[in-house]
Amino acid sequence: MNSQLKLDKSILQILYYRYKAYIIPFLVIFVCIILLGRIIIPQMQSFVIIKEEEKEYRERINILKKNLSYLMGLSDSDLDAQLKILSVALPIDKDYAGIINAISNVSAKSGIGVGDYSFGVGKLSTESAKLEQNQRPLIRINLQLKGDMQKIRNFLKNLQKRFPLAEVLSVQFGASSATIQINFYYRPLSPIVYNEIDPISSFSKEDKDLINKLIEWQSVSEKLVSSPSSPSSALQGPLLEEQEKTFKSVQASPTVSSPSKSPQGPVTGVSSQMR
Amino acid sequence: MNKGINLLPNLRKDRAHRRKTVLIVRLTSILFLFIVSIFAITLFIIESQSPIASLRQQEADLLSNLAQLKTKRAKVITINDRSKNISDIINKRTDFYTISGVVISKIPKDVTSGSLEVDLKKTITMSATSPSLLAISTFLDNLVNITGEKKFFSKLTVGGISFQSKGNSYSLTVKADLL
Repeated sequence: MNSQLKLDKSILQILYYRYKAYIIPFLVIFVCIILLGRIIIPQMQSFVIIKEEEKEYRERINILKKNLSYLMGLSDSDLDAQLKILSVALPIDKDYAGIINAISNVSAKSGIGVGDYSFGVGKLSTESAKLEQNQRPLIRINLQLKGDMQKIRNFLKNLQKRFPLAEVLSVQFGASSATIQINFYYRPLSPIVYNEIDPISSFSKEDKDLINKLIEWQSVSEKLVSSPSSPSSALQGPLLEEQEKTFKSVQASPTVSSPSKSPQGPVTGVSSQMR
Repeated sequence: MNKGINLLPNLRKDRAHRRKTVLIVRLTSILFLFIVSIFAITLFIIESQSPIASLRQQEADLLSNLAQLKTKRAKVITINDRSKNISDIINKRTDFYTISGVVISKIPKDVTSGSLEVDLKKTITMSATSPSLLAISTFLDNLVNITGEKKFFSKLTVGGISFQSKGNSYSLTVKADLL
């Protein structure tokens, strides 16, 4: 057994002396192949990913810059004024007082008498607060008007330019009276959810035209309403306060994550107060 | 004596071959080492010059600036939402003033409008009375012309024409579908 061992050892020695010159080069080649396979190639692959990430960063930064410059360019007072007029036109809550005020003012201007009327109360506020993009809860009113056809037509015309915005659904003209069905819309404040890296959709020409049209209608309405304690105008204050609360809660909400961690970017989610 | 018979190994030739092999192996190992070094140095340079860190910082700065404008952004979103809804309401509304005006303007002198009703299905139902059948016919022609213009009505249906001997008058009922 010992002779066997000696024999193996001597064989190894012979082999070592014979191939000594090859050992280091082969070891170097082996190590190089390991380095290439385990480090260099994965690094090159990650380099491509880094380049893509860099491109994404640049795109996101561009959007953020545009958003920032757009928001910086907006005046707070202008936004408040626009928000105010839009909230009067489409209230955030059931504005019964505003509705009665609109009807009485328009009927007075048109020279007609308002007979019986009935209100449909609409959906409960908790239900109406969970709204989709284009959903609008409404209050339906059935109204009896007394006057000739021309005056009733004038009533319909003037009502279209009054706030809260109304949609006449049906009209039944009689000889000297009419029965009309009107929808008055409102829209509670929806939860404001947005992604920081989404581009802000700036106000279009149509939006600006709409706001100008509403301002014009409002100025006409204000000329009609001479009494300063009109229910509609009295409601504007509390309604805007409600909105302010919602917007302040947006500011207080934390930013969820940085875009580098999530490809979608941070999502700011805020629930407005449900009414 | 045969000179072609050589019992000693050809040591010189063997050594030369061995030396050549060792040289090739060494050169290959140097080449590998060179390639790996070049790649490593290149990657190191690229990584050290990558703008990701500065971009990340820039983005964080922008996000913190935007965070201060959250209220404004919420207002913009609310304004967009409300103006979209208001546009929908305004565009959806039927202009009863104009439509009733058009219909009334087409009623001849001898014809008296009995009732005019616009229902939820956007259908106008009208009734008119007149002592003259010719006037009724003129009124009907006028309504047909309005329908032909395709501005207000898409369809016109005559409900019926009847004669009331009590009042000695003709009455007409028509239905028109609004566009």
